[in-house]
Amino acid sequence: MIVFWFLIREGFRGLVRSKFAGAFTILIVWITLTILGIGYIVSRDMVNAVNSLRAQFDINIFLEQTANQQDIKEFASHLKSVEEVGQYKFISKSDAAEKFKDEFGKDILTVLDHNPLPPSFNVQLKPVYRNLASVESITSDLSKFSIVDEIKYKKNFLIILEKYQRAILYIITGTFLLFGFISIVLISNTIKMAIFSRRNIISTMKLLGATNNFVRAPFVIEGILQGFIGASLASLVLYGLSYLLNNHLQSIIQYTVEIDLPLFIAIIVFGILMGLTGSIRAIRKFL
Amino acid sequence: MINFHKVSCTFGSPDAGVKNISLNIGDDDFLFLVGPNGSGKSTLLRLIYMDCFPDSGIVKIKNFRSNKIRQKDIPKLRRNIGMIFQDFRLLPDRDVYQNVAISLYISHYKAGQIKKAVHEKINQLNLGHRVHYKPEQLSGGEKQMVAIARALIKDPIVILADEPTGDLDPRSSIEIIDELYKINQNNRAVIVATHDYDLVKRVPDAQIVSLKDGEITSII
Ligand SMILES: Nc1ncnc2c1ncn2[C@@H]1O[C@H](COP(=O)(O)OP(=O)(O)OP(=O)(O)O)[C@@H](O)[C@H]1O
Ligand SMILES: [Mg+2]
Repeated sequence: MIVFWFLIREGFRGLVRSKFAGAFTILIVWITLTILGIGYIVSRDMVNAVNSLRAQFDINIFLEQTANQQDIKEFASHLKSVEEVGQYKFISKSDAAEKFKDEFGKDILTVLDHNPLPPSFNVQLKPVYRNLASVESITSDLSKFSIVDEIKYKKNFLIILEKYQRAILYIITGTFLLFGFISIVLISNTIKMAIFSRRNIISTMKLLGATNNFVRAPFVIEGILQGFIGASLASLVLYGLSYLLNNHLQSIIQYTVEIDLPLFIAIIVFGILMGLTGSIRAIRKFL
Repeated sequence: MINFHKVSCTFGSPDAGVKNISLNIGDDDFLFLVGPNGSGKSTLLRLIYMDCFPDSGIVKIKNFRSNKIRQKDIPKLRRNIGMIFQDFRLLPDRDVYQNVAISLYISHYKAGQIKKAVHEKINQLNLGHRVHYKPEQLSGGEKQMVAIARALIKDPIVILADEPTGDLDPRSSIEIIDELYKINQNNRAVIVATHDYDLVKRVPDAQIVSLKDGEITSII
């Protein structure tokens, strides 16, 4: 226990002593996490936008004109049993005529003197199944029912949505990996320089019987502290930026961002991990 | 306690290190390693604290054997050895107190013990007035004393001193040898490497091992 506190104290000492290298490490963590934080918020909002578009997606199943009550009832109970189906609504011939009147302002009977509109089901899938593959397999199953005349949905809409979503995913993952990697390399090189000037101390400690963990601990604690400080600064900047945007820039950009506690916690955890991995990588050479 | 059995350690060159050393050192021996520069004194000490390993032969300290020891057991061995290095190896950014205390932190002593023990040892070696000095503010003799304090404080089973009187004046040298002799009287083995033959005479019942070109030429 005493050793534990000794090593913690050593870590803090190192932080104060390492001045330039320490400040540089903090700066890297700060910049990286600010950029990643902004990247995360932007991509999160884009994903949300894509998802709200996706929420509008529905399938219309048009039935044969000749379909009778019994057939329709059976088909409805089948729809109910399909796992992918979230909600469905039956639109009878007269409902359809009503809808036509709402949309075009004319009564279909006065235009055509009979009602050609077929009865139909409007189906909303559960959110996870609103993708091309699921939709195609469901519709091909449903079209096997003899009372089904035609199934319509916006295929292109789904294709474009999926394309965007994939692009967003690639960009996010790429940015995160790239920035994460670059900053860990930068951090470990900076810490390596700091350790280099203390390599005699390290070898003396080892000659006096210090274990690798004992030698490593203060540097790792120092790295963690630097990561923590950098991450706190990044959190502060993100908070400041979002406050500015939400309260003072609404006349210029109509975009409000929400930042919540989990995001700040994630940033802090990331910062600590960066300091941790950076310092462990750095000290490996000197043990 | 310490055995060298036909040990050679030559760093890959025929005229370096030590060759064919066989030596037994008992629990309460006082042993001088004497010989000119480059005769292998430091190498022999390094073999004991396993900072280098034999090309052939075995070095055995208590139950630690050079041919069997695992990397992670080396710290355990070193905590049992009090080392006084030829170039002191004090921590430049720590004061005298911390330089001595580090030894106890490394050996996992308890907090309560550390403070008391360090002050006691520092006063005993007449460094009381230098507790908060950094090494750069100390004279050569004072640095040497700090190095000795650091080695003694963990109460090791053996003290290894490499040129402990290096560039000290005769009076300080004698003080240091007397200090080491006192420890030896408390049943601790002491091994001193030196090329100062006058020092050897201060310890009446010491063994003297002479080295030349890495080989033992005589044991008295
Ligand atoms: N790591 C090494 N690599 C190669 N040669 C070495 C190494 N260490 C020591 N030597 C050589 O081994 C020989 C013995 O060196 P050692 O340091 O043991 O001598 P010494 O008796 O302690 O000398 P001094 O009185 O100057 O301290 C020297 O010739 C030295 O150059
Ligand atoms: Mg030497």
